[in-house]
Amino acid sequence: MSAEAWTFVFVVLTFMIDIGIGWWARVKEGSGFYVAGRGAPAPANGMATAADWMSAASFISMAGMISFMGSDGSAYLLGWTGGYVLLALLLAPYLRKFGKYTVPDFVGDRFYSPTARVVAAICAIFVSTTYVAGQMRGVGIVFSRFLEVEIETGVIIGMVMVGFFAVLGGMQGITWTQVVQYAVLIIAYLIPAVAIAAMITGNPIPQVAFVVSDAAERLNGIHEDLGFGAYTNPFTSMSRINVFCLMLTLMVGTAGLPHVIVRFYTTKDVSSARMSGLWALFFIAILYTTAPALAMFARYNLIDTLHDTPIEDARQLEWVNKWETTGLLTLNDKNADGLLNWSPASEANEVVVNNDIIVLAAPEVAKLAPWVVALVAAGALAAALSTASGLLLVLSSSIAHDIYYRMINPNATETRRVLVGRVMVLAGVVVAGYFGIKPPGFVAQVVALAFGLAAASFFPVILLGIFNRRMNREGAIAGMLSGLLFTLGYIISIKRFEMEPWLFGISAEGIGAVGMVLNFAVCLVVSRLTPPPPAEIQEMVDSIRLPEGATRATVLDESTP
Amino acid sequence: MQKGDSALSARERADREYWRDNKRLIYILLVAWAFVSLGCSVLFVEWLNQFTIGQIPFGFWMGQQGAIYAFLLLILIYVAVMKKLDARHEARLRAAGVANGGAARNGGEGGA
Repeated sequence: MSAEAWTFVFVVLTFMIDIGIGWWARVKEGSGFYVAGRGAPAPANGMATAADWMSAASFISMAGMISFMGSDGSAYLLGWTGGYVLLALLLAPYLRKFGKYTVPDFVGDRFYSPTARVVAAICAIFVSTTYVAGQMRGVGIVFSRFLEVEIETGVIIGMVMVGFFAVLGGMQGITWTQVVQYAVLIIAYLIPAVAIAAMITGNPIPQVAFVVSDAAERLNGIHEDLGFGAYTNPFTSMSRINVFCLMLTLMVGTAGLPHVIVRFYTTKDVSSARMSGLWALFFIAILYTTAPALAMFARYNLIDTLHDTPIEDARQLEWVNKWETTGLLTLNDKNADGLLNWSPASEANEVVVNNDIIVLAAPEVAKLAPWVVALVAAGALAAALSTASGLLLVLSSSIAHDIYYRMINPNATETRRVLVGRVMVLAGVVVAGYFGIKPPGFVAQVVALAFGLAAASFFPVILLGIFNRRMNREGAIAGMLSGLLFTLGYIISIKRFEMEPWLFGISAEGIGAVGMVLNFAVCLVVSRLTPPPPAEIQEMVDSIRLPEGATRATVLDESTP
Repeated sequence: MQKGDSALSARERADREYWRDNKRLIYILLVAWAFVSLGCSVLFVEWLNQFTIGQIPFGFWMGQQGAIYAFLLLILIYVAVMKKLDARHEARLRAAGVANGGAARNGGEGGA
């Protein structure tokens, strides 16, 4: 059977399982639609969080990115994992004890202000839309490569799949669907990684082979011969301050992303919220510690296979041939000597490799069976779809719950709110699909924006809302707005108006860290100059700091009018 | 409004100590968090790279593997210590005769 036929089988199979789960877990209550009825056990919730978190970017692009950045790839690796320490220690247990539906709920209640709630809801909508559009594009690319359809058709197939079970299942359905999707994506990632590790180093465990084999030494040798900096040397692709700021922004941004935070509302009680953080990071770490090993081995293998190889011989390789036709791999014998030349200087370089190819081509490079190639495609789809469905739910809850129910129609019945939620999921799918088919030129740039904004807006305000009893409405709104506007302004000035990075040379991707510090500072100063929060708010802060009684704080009791 | 120690009920004292211990634990773990990530793999990575682990430079390994393991360990420590603190706090409440305090407190929260 060909890889395409296998892909079809795997995709249909995954879809059937997803439908089955969506049917089994179909929900009628609002609590289940938004937060899984608080029934998910910690390991399952951790796995679902991991699937939710690891998007098409983590699965397809990250190893490729690290492979090109070398040592500086740690900014992404640690940025996207370190945030879970902040979540587990500083946010998750208290937000779980607080026990409401959404992040804007916390901001609105803690700061006794509809304005703060709306600002938070708009931030949540913006961050989630940006993200989900990227996922849809990823789905389209995977389908177009493996099912040999147009990218547009691929995006539409993806829209139908996501829309179907997000509308059907709500959070309960999504939690169990994501557990399945995690299993698919991690197996799909590990099989080729293990095969390549065994092929290059003779040791099948990527994390071990990374340390004990001489692959790093060999790769450093090749790099120096070709005129690149050594692979293991830091700050070859970014300056120190940029690695620092990017890492910090991604860590804090991760902890501030609404679709990640809302996961911890799903747990049974405060203690399982802490456990869920541990499980989530554990399941994420399996992929994140494999990625740098895969990145290093794949880079070694690519250079070793292609550099100084006659171009005609290279084209004999089936995977080279295949990926060259997709445009993700470009061979161009510029000096017409018949040999491929890999070089850091772009005018002499004859091999251009797209980041995404490192993972997607891994099984073919390692000469694995066609069904493994198909499994990787199914894994990439699982990663993209699970993230997309989690994001769509945040999007719909921000509109249906935070804006419609809280601001427009407080008398709406449970049924009506769930209905509005479902309609909003569908609307979200259509908007995301539109951006997936017609990606605005700035998709990659807006992802940076999403992390920067989450870091500069949500994180400081939620943190101070818990740890600083004196923090008040005025401080929170001023802090959120200043963090948001500064970060937005800086990114726009660089990305849109093409200014040089004007603040210590910090790139647009890393500026969220500065926005966060600004937010903290403004919050603290303004709150001390304005009246303290009312006594009942201070009592609420005291109460969320203590773990007991959280199991009784069910959402339904509080939200039923 | 800080009350003098003598004016505090057993419950308030237990709550206050629980929160103080929790904060102290968080401070310690966050310092470790920043040290392994921003410290070891950005600020003094070159210095660490003079050492090796297996066949690769140590600073490089911290940035690509080690810090992630450290993150897991930090959360594990937090979960374990907090479990102990939770149990001690609950025992103190029970000893003070407010075993049902959680539920009562929670009832008040509903209106917040």
